[in-house]
Amino acid sequence: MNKYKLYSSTDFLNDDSFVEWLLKSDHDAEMFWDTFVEEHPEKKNEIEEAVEIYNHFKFTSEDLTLEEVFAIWNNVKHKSVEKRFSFLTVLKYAAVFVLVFTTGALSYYLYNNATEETEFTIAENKPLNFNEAQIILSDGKSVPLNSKESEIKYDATGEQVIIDNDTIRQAKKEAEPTINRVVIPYGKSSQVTLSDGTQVWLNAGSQLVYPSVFKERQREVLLIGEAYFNVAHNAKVPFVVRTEHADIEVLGTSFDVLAYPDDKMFQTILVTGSVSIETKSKGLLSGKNKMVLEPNQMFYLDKESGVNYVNNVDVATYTSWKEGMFDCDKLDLSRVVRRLERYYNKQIHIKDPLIGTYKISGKLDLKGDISEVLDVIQSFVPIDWGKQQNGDYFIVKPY
Amino acid sequence: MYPNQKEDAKLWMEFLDGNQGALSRIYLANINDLYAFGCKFSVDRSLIKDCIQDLFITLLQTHTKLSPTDNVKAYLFTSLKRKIIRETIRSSRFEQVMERGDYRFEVGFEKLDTQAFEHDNYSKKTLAVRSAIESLTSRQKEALYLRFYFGLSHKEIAEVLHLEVQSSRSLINRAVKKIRNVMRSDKKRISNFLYFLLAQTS
Repeated sequence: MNKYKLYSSTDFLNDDSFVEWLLKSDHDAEMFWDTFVEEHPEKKNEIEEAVEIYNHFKFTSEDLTLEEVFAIWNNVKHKSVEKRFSFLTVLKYAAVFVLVFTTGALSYYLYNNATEETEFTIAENKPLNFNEAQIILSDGKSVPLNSKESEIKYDATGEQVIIDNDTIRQAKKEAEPTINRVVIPYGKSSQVTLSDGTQVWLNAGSQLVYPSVFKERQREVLLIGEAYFNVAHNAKVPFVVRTEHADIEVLGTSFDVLAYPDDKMFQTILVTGSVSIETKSKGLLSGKNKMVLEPNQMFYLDKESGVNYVNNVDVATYTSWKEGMFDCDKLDLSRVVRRLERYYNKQIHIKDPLIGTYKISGKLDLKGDISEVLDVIQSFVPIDWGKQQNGDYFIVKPY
Repeated sequence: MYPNQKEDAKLWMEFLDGNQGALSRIYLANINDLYAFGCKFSVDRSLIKDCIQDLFITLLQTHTKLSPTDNVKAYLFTSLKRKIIRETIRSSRFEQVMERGDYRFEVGFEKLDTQAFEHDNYSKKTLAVRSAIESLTSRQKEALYLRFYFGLSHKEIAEVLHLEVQSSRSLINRAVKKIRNVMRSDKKRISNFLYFLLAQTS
C-alpha cells in the first residue's frame, strides 16, 4: 500500500490492480481502495481524477448474433478437416458461404460453466428452410409440421415421437446424444412434450433445440424466440434454458421466455415456482449477473445497453398467447403490431410513428382472421387500417 | 489478469493435449471480445468474421505445434490482429504502400445523451477529451482500448503491440498524461467562466 502514497492520477491508471478494480470492482478490491482513501485523504483528488479519466473511455462494442457465433464455429469444424486452400477468397462469395453452412452436419456448442461440455450435433441432409414448420430428427430427416398449431410428444426413452397423432421412431445411438430441433415460422405455433414430461409451447418465429432424451444428470435446451415452459419437477436435475443473452435455470416451474433475435429486449416471466437467470457477459466489463425471480415477476433486459430490472407483472398478459389470446396491458400499439406480424406472418406498416405509441389494454382473440383483430383494435383506438396490393397491411390516422 | 484467464489457460492446455472440445469453449468464451476488438481495425464486418474463422481453423490444424500460454486472450488478439491487417492490405484495391506495422484503429465512443448536450459543461468537456483521444496514434488508442476496455495488463498489452513491456508502459503513460492535461485545461477554462459569471452578478 506504501507505494501508492506518492502516486499521481496517471500513476494509478498505470497500475494493473487499480485498473482491475475499476473494471471489476469485486469486494476485496473495493475494501482495499476504500481503506486506502480513508487513510490517505490527500490522495482522494488524484484517485478521483484517475476515475474521471477512465470514465472517458466508454467505447462502443459490437456483438455477433448467436446464429453467427454457431455459423463461424461450424465452418471452423468443417474447414479444419479439409486441406487448406485459399479459403478466405472462397468465402468472399456469399452464396458459397451459405451453402457450406446449411449442408452437412450442424453443430451447436453450448458453453457450460460446469466441467461437462454439451455438444448438440444435428446431421443435416439438405439446406434448412426456416419458412417451413418442421421437426428435424437426429438422423437429419426433417418432418414437416402441417397444422397451424402442431403437437409433438416424446416418450420417456426418446425413441418414439408422436407428431399430430402420427408416430415416428428414431434410433438412438449409444455414443452421441440424439438432438432434435423444432423450427416454427411466423404464423404458426407448436406444443412439444419432452422426454422428461416438460411441456413447451413454442410461439411463432421460434426454434427449440433439445436432446430427444435427457442425460441422467443434465436437462438443457436451446431457445431462439419465445416459449412457455411447464417444467416437470426434478429436484436433482435442474432444467436449463439457454438463450443468446441469458441462461435460465429451474427445478420445476412454469415460466415464459421471450428471446427473439430481432427484439431489443429479452424477457422472462415467472408464473409458479422459482427460476434463476444468468445473463451473459458483454465484453468483460459487465461480467455475469445472476438473478432469482419470484412468481408474478418479470425480468427485463435491454440487449443494447445491458440495463436490466425485475418488476411485478400480471402474468396472464404475457402468457395468454399459448391459448390463442393476446392479453395487453397498456402496451404500445407498435409492440402489439409486432406480435401480430409474428403470429400471422404478415407485414403491418404503421404509417405515423405517433400511432405506434397508442396504449392498448384488453384481450385480443387471435383465433380468428387478422382483419378481425385489426377491427377490434380499431374499436380501442382512433385508427384506420387497410390492405395494400402486395398483401401487407397498413395502419393510418383516421381522416 | 482478465476474468476467465485461469479457465482459458487450463482449457488451452487441454486443447494442446488433443481435446478439440476445449477449443470450442475457448472460442465461445472469447468470440465476442475478439469480434469487438476486430471491429476497431476495419469496417468490413465479413472480413473480420472470416479472419476469426481462419484463426480457429489454423489453431485446430496446428495444435501440435502450439506452445502453452497463460495468456490465451492476448495470444488470440495478437493472431487476429495480424490476420486482419494482412487481409486488409491484401484486399485493398490500390497498391497502397503501407509501412510495416502501420494500421488504422478507430476506438468508437458510446453516444452522448443528446438532450443534455447543448447546455451541459460535462458534454463539452467530454467532447474535448474524446477528440484528444481520437488524435492519439493508432497504437496508443489500441493500447488504451485493451487496457480500459478489456483490462489487459501491461505484459499482455506489450504482447499484442509487439513491444517490450517497458516501452508499452511508457506509451500508455504518455497517452494518459495527454488526456489528463486536456481534461485539466478544460476544467480551468470552465472555472474561469464561472468566476466571470460570479463577477458579473455581484
